[in-house]
Amino acid sequence: MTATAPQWARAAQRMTRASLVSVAWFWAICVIAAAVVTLVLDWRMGEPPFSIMSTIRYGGIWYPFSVALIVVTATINVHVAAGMTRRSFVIGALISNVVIGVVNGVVMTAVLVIERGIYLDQGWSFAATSAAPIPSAWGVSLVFHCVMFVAGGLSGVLVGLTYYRWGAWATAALPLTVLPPIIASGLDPAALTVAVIAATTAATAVASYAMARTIAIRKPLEMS
Amino acid sequence: MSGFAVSVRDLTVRYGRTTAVDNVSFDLEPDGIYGLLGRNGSGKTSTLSVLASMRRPTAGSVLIDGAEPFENERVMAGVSLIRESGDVLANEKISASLAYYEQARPAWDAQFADELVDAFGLNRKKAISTFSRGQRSAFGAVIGLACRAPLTMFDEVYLGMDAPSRYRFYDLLLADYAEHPRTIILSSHLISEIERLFSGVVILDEGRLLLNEEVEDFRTRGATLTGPTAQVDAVTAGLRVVASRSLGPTKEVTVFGDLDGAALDAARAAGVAIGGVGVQDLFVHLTEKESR
Repeated sequence: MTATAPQWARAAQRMTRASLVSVAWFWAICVIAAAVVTLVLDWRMGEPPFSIMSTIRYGGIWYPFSVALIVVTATINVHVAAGMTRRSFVIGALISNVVIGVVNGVVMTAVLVIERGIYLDQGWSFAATSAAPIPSAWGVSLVFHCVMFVAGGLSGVLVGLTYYRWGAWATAALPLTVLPPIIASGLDPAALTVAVIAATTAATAVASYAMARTIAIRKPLEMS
Repeated sequence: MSGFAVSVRDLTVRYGRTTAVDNVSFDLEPDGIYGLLGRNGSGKTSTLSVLASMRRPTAGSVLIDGAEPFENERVMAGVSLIRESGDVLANEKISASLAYYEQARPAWDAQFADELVDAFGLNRKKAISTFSRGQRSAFGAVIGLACRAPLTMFDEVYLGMDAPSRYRFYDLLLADYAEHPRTIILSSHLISEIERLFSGVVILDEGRLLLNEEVEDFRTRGATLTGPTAQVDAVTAGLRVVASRSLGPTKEVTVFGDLDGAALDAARAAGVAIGGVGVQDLFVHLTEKESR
């Protein structure tokens, strides 16, 4: 995009492009690792006891959370120094993490579909772990995973902003700022769960927007 | 594109209990090169940070091109503050930061940026974090010059550069300013090197405005008087003496103020030699504790 496009759009495009690279690596590593585990379990136990791919769910929540936190704290200085507003930065970050969350949700659902096909073909029972239940309908699974992964990313944005603004004092706010992904990590995929996650995630987005608008930009760190 | 005008009224910046800028007001006309001078802790960086929308003022107002700059997309896109060590993608090569600024700055000149990178001899294959302090300073200068922002500010960015690089920067700045006039603010401790660039000076002292003047007016308000002690004392009675030193029967005094031409002629007639004072010397004398 050129410098004439809206600032928020440029920020969203830039952050999304950068994040997609890490997303690709994440899924490549996770899928390969899950495939190896599946093969080992097949060899040792006769069949995997549950859906191995379903355990990636937690990584799909917390890895984008970590990436979002790092990206926010590492790039807000450059963004404002380059003459762009905090408003465009936070809107770009929120849009980027929604996009990445949806991408992750689509990929997660796709690998579960593929894994199920393999399990059925091998005559294995396809069941989720007790800690990572899978919705029986793939459409529901898609929505559920998208909401969960968006929750992780947006929470990372808010946590990054709070630490940038308040330093170590932001730790006191962690019970609130990481609430959406914690809920997403612990509850069954019922409609109520999705609604709760979506609501807390929306609140996270609003809080991020409000937090970012008045942040003072720190001096650049001196490099040794 | 012409430069932005700057209007600051009653600007105050506080960090907790510390007042960094205290009720400062000044105006800068567009398309000039201004020196923002002050001792360490005088409030220069805080003032520049407010102009660049890095922070909001605690009190007072700032207008750039007639509008408040904070979170104003139009104004912020035209204001550039290059800080020491720079705001760049430190773990990436130069090309990443140049691309970042190219998509951010409406007036960015990519070809000029490439020429500047070569002029400063910067390594395009290494991450910026591996650069020396002087090289990082030089890259900051590249960004500041290539963005051609209507209000461009450099905050001590040349401190880390060696002398040849600094003079290269000054020459490049002047040449580009002549072709693309804009408002430029230079904050530096190396006043003797850069005073030739200034059209105006703003001096801050302990967070307060000491003066805001055209540089030529500033220079002509200072003079050194050297001669026999008695004659020098007689001539300088009633004038603001900012520095004084004696060597035997001879005394040298630096005065600052609206100097009376007739008084100066009388001083010459009395055998007192009158000389000019550089911006740096005036700055040092005016900000000495004894002269306040």
